[in-house]
Amino acid sequence: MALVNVLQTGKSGMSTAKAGIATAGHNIANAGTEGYSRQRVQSEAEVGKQVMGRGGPYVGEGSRISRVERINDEYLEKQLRQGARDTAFHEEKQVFLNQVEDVFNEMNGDGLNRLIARFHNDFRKLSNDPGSEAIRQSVRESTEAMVRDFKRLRSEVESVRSHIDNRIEGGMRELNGLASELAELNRKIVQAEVQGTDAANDLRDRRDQVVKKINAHVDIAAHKDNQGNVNVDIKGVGPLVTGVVVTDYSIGRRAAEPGTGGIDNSIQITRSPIAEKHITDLFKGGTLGAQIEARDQAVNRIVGRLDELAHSIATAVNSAHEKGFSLDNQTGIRFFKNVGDVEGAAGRIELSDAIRENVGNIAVSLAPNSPGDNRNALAIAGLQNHRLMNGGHSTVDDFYNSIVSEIGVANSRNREALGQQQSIITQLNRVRDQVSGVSIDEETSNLMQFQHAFDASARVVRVADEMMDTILKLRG
Amino acid sequence: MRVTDNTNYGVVRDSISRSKGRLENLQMETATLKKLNRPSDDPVGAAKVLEVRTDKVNNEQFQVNARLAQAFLDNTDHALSELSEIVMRAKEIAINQSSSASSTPETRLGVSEEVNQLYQRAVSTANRRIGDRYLFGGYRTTVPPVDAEGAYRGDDGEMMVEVGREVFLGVNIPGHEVFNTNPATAADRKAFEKPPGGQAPANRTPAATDASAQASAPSGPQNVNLFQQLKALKTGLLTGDVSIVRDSMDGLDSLLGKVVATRAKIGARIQSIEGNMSALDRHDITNAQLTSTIEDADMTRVVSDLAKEETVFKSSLASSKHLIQPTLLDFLR
Repeated sequence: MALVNVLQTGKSGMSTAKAGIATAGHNIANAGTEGYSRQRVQSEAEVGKQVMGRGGPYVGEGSRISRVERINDEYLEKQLRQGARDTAFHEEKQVFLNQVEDVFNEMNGDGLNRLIARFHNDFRKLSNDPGSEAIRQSVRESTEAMVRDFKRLRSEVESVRSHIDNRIEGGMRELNGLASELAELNRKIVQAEVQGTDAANDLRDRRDQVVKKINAHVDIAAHKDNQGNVNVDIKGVGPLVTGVVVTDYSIGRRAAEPGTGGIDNSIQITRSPIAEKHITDLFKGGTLGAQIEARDQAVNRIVGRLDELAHSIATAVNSAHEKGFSLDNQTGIRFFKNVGDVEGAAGRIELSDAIRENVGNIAVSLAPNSPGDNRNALAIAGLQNHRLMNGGHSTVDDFYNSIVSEIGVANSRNREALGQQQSIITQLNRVRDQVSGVSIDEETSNLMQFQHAFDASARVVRVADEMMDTILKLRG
Repeated sequence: MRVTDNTNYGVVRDSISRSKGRLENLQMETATLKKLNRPSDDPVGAAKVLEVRTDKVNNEQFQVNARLAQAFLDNTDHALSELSEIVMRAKEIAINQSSSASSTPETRLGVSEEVNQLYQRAVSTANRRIGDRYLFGGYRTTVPPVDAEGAYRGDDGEMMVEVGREVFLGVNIPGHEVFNTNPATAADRKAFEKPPGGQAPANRTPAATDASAQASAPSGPQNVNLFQQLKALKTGLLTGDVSIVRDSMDGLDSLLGKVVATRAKIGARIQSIEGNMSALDRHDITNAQLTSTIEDADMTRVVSDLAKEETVFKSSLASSKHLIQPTLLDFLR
């Protein structure tokens, strides 16, 4: 057995130790990197050579780095990704629900509820003194205030809707960007791994992160193919990234599909080659799912109910008012302008010109020449107790209060779900950290261990050197 | 179990932010003294609070209405009390002058002037106003309900006021119901018993209750009209027709009965208003208690929770200091 081999053994130990130190350093450096999985040097003993001819014993020849392993649990990563998707969904929804709740929050102030009550009570006041000009003025004022608040509510909820549109736009752009990034990473990883399986550890961490980010946008299915690509399909929609090919999804403002109750001129998603039909409502989960659900269901519903409320009030008050007689014995006067269809009624409700110009046109009596007749004022005030809404099941007040309550329920339910989701994700992150996270203490002790190993291997080299010396001196 | 640095930091971050979140909620409660600050804090409670608020606004209006109704009815009652005095005085005169023993042409002439005065007083009482509205004119509140001839110019309208949720109360007595013992036809009366908001009867106006209309009334007991009766008494006295004077005693009697009955009706209404007012007051108190339970923060709880949470927060900060600082590196120097 050659002395050179001993030198070689020492050297291999030094390289292994050096790799260990480098890896520990790499781990420490990435202790704070999001999604980083710690790495381990896997070394193995070099197969020894037979000494003293055939049948002699084998003596080891040092160590060899087999691979640098990335310590990572794929199942856990998947769980974490889905947890992050659900958290993102609830977080995003919470933003919009809070905005809507703010619009309707009258717990500490005035709101439509009070204005509707004031409207009815001003008619009661008028019934007490049907001839009073001052009270007629006040009826007009309180009606204007109610009308203004209807419009304010509608336009504020509308602005939540357009805010969501902007977020969808931004989100889709980000999603397309992430898809290209994933395709690029797939290309790099496949290329790198031709040279060896561990060549792309850090790229893989990055790819996991990208997939996680994509998943935070929308519900996906991710799977590896046998070339090492990660392919991502959007669930219920179709492929997003297949190998290095990206399916492009584009967005644009479009008219609502007839019969869906959708809103005209809102952001819709289409697949680029087949741009005819939008596939917006197929996107579920994640922030995009939350945005689309909030816009097309929660917010849309509230706008619809506001419209319904305004429409019912306007029609019911009008039909009662038209039966009455004004101070000048005119009958058939409209109190509100014709609101037309239910859709958009809350934005169109408006006092009629007749009333706006002359409060004497408010029809308080049910017969001509009866200045003391207050029956029509009573009838209009009494609409407060009529079950005008929900096909005759609830009053105007009930209906409005149930809108507020519904928003509250949606919000608190989502807040609870978000809280749960956050603790799940905290727990999952903790588990992931236990497996893949970097412990500075551990790395420091590894560092020391490899340092000592390096020292010792260096000593082996020196011993070999001295042995070499000894042999050389024999001749001299 | 491997405990990594990220885990440590994560635990610290979580416990601090959770504690801070709870602190913020408690501080919000102390600042507003309310535990219900957004509908989502208690959705069902929020709807209830809104409902109660509407109720409260309505109740305030009902109380105003009830006070107005009371003023109306009180005034009507005063007027009726005067009318009853007038009728009583007329009856006294009739009694005195109906026996030929105490009645001479001179005394009759003297008291006929008094009866004339009584007539004038009756007309002006019938035209009593509250503010600028005539009390006895039905819905015709802007013209005097009784003209100088004693003819009724008002109508049958009964002004209803809402004194409680869907509780309506008539606040006026249409004049001809007091001035006549059997005022209108059954069909007319029926038309007016319809609730407010019903269709106006076509035959309501003009007022159908002057003397001629009464004469043609098809059935029922004979109608007596206050003004006509006073006029008849005066005529009887002036002409010395004792039989007219004697006849008028019955008529005045039934008129007095009518006024007294009407006053009893008004008394009953005023009583029901008072009952209703105290019901509204009680309702207000119940409502206040209800909203308070739903939306007011329990300050004892909030303050003690706040103190507790502060301790939690401080101790999690303190423990973080120990958790974060040392690593193996610190001991290797």
